[in-house]
Amino acid sequence: MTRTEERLTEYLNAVADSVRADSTRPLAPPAAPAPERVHRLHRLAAGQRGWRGWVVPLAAAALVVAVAVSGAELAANVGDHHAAGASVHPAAPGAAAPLPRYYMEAEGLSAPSPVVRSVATGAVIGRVPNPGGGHEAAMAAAPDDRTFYVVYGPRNPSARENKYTIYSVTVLNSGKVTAPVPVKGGAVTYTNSAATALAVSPDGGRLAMTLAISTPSPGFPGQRVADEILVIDLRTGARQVWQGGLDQAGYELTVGSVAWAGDGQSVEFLATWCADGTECVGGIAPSRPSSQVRSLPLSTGGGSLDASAVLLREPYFVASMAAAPAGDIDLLTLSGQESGNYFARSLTVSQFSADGRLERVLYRRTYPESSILRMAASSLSTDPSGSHLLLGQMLYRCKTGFECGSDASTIGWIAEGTFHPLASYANLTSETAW
Amino acid sequence: MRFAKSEPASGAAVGKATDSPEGDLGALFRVHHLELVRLATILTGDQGTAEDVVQDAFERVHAGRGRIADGGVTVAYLRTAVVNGCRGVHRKRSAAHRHERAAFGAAGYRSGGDGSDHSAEHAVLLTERYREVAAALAALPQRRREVLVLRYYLQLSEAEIAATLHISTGTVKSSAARGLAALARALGEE
Repeated sequence: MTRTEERLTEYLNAVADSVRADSTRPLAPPAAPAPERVHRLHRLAAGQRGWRGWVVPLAAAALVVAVAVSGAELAANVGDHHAAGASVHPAAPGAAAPLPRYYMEAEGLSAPSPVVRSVATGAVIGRVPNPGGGHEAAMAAAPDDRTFYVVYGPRNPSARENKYTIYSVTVLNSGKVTAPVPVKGGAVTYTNSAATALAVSPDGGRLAMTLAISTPSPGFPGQRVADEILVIDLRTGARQVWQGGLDQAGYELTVGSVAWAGDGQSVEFLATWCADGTECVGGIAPSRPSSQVRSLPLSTGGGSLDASAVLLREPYFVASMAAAPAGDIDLLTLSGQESGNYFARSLTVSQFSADGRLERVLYRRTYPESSILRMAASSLSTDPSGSHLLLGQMLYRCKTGFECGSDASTIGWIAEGTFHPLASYANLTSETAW
Repeated sequence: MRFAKSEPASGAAVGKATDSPEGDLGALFRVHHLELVRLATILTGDQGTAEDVVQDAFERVHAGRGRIADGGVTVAYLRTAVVNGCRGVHRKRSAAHRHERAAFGAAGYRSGGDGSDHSAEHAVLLTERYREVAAALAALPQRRREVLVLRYYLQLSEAEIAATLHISTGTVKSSAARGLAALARALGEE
């Protein structure tokens, strides 16, 4: 734990300890008269029955209005694309390709651990425990439809030194899953870092991983966070690193997703910019809510991320993407579900050509204000053919604007504009890969 | 890219609205009330306000009982309600701050960066020992402050924080990293 963390922890505990159990005043009812409401929390504490339902606080209604505004902005952007002549969810290229046989998802909340499931039956066929402890940070599937990679983070997430280890598992012909094996060059240690995304190259020989790293910066008064893309050659263990170069005055780069171009010669990543010292939570940066998909040629051998070129500019926040190598269709962009700190009202999966032209909208789902479901986050991955998309939707079942339970999340694959659910961990997860 | 997950139970004493929901809620209250008041005190800087926020949270849980399908009443749900309630307090304070400035002018107005009146803050916030840390934490954007409090006070995992704040685990990680970096910078410890 760093000195800063120690001081912060000490301060928080001091504030907390100053609130003694015997210093809290009796809890009063929120409104009169209703005698049965008096001391209801005391009755609650005593396990007594006989309450009445109470009125929903006004704060909840106010939040609903904010979400509706965000949703309207998003819908307008989607509408712009349609005006450009895009069609809605025709079959993806190569749709005759068979479905993948396996997919991976993370099981558990406090210490997520990946499991491999059968697409056909949904059954768990293998688990991927971390031999070194720690928790899963990112996952990806190889194009052979039987190999999966998992990034495990440090055992102590608060430690200053963060060791990440990448393991692979393979589904054998017998249907069993091998024990996790550390990959060559897959053990890396950073200071104050967070691994955020992982992708396997089309030939299965390289990995691309993204990290957010706090680093001292010359000329900058203190640390700042620099996002980094790390490419690992699985045969030799050699690494290439690209970092920095895309920050703008007052704005920090955030790399959201990473994917490989179909030819394996470049890495594509999702870039957004957050105003320095402000939030970029859930998509809307305070001053710059735009996103870019950029292509980073590996021939540069490492260095600055400004060696990348812009493939696609979006005026709104793009949450996740996956690359599809089929034909000249090179980008699949998942967009539109995150438009604020809370929930959005629509989710759109769109497919773009390599020159940034919208080809088709593959899937769209809206969550009207009257719906009890709200979209909070999503993830996307594609099979090697680019014809089958695996989509994770983090859904909350809400009875008001923010009184929600996240038990409605779902993962599934998209075909012909339809979402086909797959088995998942108690409908609580949206992270998945195939 | 990974995203937050949630699960119905987190830690001990999680009540599910089943056979005796009020009794389970009572157990939830007994076990977690003080911890939640402390959490809200850290986030609002005022114990009295914190107790109001926590009461509201339990009211919402009670009002929603039976309509929260499958997930039951969870500690994570309560934490979310408390954090959201604290945000509401800050919004009201900010509005009051703007109104007061418009009515009386900015000169001499004493408030925190979020519009809170420091005279109402808990005494410990103003002790010299913690003044620097308190000021640095208060200067953080709201989300980063919440992430750090949930991580370093409640010791929640990244996934639990994500579930509480309804954000992705990636956002939790980046918010924590950026928040810590800003704290270190402000405290001269980079």
